[in-house]
Amino acid sequence: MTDQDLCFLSLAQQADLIRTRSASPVEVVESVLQQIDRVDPKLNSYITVMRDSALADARRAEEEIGRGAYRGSLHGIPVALKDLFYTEGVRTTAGSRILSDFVPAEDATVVVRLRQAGAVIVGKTNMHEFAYGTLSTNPHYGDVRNPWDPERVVGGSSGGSAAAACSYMCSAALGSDTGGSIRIPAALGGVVGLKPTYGRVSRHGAVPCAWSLDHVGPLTRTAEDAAVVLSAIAGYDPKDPASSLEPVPNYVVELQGDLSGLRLAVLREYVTDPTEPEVLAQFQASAVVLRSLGMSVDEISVPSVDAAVGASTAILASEVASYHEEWLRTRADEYGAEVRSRLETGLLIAATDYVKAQRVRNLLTGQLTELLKRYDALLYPTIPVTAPRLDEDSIELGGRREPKGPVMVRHTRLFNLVSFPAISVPCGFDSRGLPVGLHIATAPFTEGLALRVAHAYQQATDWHLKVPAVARG
Amino acid sequence: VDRHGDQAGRDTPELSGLTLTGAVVLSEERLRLLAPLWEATHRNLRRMDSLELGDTEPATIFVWKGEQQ
Repeated sequence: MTDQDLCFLSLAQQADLIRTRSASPVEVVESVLQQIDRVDPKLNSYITVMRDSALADARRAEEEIGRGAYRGSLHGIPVALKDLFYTEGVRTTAGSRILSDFVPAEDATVVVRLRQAGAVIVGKTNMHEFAYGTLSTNPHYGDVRNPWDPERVVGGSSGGSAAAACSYMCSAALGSDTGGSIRIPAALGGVVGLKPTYGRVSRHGAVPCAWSLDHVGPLTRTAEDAAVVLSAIAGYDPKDPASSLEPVPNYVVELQGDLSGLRLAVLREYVTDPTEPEVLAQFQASAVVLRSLGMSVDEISVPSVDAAVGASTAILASEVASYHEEWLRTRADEYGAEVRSRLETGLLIAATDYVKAQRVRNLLTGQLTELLKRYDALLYPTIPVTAPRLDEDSIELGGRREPKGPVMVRHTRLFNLVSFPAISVPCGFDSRGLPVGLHIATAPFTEGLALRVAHAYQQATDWHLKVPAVARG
Repeated sequence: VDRHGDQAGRDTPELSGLTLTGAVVLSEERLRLLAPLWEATHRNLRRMDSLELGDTEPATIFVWKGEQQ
């Protein structure tokens, strides 16, 4: 294996080589930096590449490991951060012009924890402006392009993190998810994206989108790698008022639990909604695989999930408009046109609709809590379509044309509303070679179960081993 | 364009002097531009109306921490 090939290994494989001193952190990080040089001009997934500090950190990791101070599976591993996580001394733009010169004085809690685990931060990834959008089209830093077809969107808002993970320009990336912003680009980009339970991972030092819906989690090529990252970043943080005191298990150990007898259920409303036939076919094939692994797969109906769209809209739009209120008054011209319009629309939502939304949220949380006493996980396609073209404003679905942004988020936002963990795992490709995502949601604080099902699925399939041509070029 | 996506109301004497947009005042030009987006948003919001909420109270933001304390 050449140094150039190191970036094509999974995080877990790289960690094994580093632990056994068959490869050094410097070699792994250099391999990733070379991949960024080769590939990122075609995808635009990074806003800032931290080349010098990454190499310095890699040399420090190499020295530590050389004297026997190995910290664990993230030691010397190159990780990318969505550019809304504070990085001390390194600008943090949130994909915006307004914060284009913002240089934080501290690291976000998740960045502190990654560094403590020995991870090497290689850069800050591109995103939808202020994480308020599902496409990662960006008027200030350029659009993120899909590795499987650079003429198509990769989804968002954590699009740069997905494109970088998919194209071997990092071994893992962090994203944030307010309505699907980890899982959407994971599905369209063909990687694993995990949104943990609300409160499981600290939001301190992440530029907010909507406080009560924001979640932080990993994007990786495998569920096993996501388990490694989640184990490092999860846990109580007194700096986050929503942080949970719930103990953190070892998610890597939890991957190996028994699967037989697990009860899974397909959420009927999200497969009878208009869905591209090829997406539906891949999803149905994934259910067959899960059954073959010893799990039962029923179908259940929860008609009230239709109200989740309205509730999520009211809460998201109101909270994000509240966060941006001062800048809307004083610096409105500095927003991109699309995000500015959506922010201003949030100003018009009635307080009564916000409160109604919180009541709907309570009702749905109760219903899904009961449902997940009878079933271990809920399944459906993460997104009803594969990646749309960058140059098309709308997409054909169910016999009508719809704006592409809202279609992306249609099935993901429910689990931001109720705060339960959810993961998207690659489950196939359509006839154009575009990835499809399988969405798995579980009860609060059972991320280990979601990861275990996703890991078992990946052990039985090889979708996650396919490499986009742009990454080899 | 009022909150409910139609053209009624803004010129009536009863509404004169009201600021519909809270701390940020949107110009007539901006409101006209936002109209299609607001109509789509409004349609989404109204999807909550068919749900029977009964005595359900609003959720609080810090739901999990509250359960543990």
